[in-house]
Amino acid sequence: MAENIQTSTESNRNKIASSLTTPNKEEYLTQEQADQNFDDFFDAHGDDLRSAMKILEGERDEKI
Amino acid sequence: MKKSKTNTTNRSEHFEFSKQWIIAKLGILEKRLNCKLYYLADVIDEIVMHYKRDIGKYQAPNHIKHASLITFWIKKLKPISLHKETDIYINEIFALACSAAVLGTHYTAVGLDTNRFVELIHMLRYGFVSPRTLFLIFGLLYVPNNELSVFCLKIRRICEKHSQ
Repeated sequence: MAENIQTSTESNRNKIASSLTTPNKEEYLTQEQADQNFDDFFDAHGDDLRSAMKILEGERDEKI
Repeated sequence: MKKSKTNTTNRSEHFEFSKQWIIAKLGILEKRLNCKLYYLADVIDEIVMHYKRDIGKYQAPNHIKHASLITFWIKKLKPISLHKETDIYINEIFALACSAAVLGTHYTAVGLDTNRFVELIHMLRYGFVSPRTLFLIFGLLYVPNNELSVFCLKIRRICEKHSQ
């Protein structure tokens, strides 16, 4: 039993070691996915960014 | 020696980060802003060079580490030159959008709102920010998609506790 646990621990350790050095294929990010994510960022947060810019520019103008 | 070189290559193969990768994003930003952006090609080369050097130092970089380094070097070297006075924060916004490009597929942004953007952009422009700081910030702002259900459960428990 103890031997089995040890083997299993070693096998887990090997799995972890290989996952650390070689990323899963699912984790690979293609150029198209990255471009789409970049575009989606402005769709999702465009309004927040515009409001943030107004606040930052207002603060800057006040200081100047 | 040869083996360790192969491992280093594998470790950084979460995606292909290159000059072309950045230029493609600048093209999208141009379309979004509907104006011509001027960038310095040599600075983009430098960003890629510094990123590749730094990512090689990590034993097992995840997407958040990649995003942190890309954001750090873009905000530090500022590849886009200003075309109007009002776009003073364009490099910081570009850096944040690039981090979203890296993280968007496997992570979900939680808690990114106007106030958070004000703090982030201000910090990127005027603060002393290291890649490690960005690593911590992105780790808090982005939740891995496969952990979203656990995250939602935790939030629900906190809400229930506060409503009692």
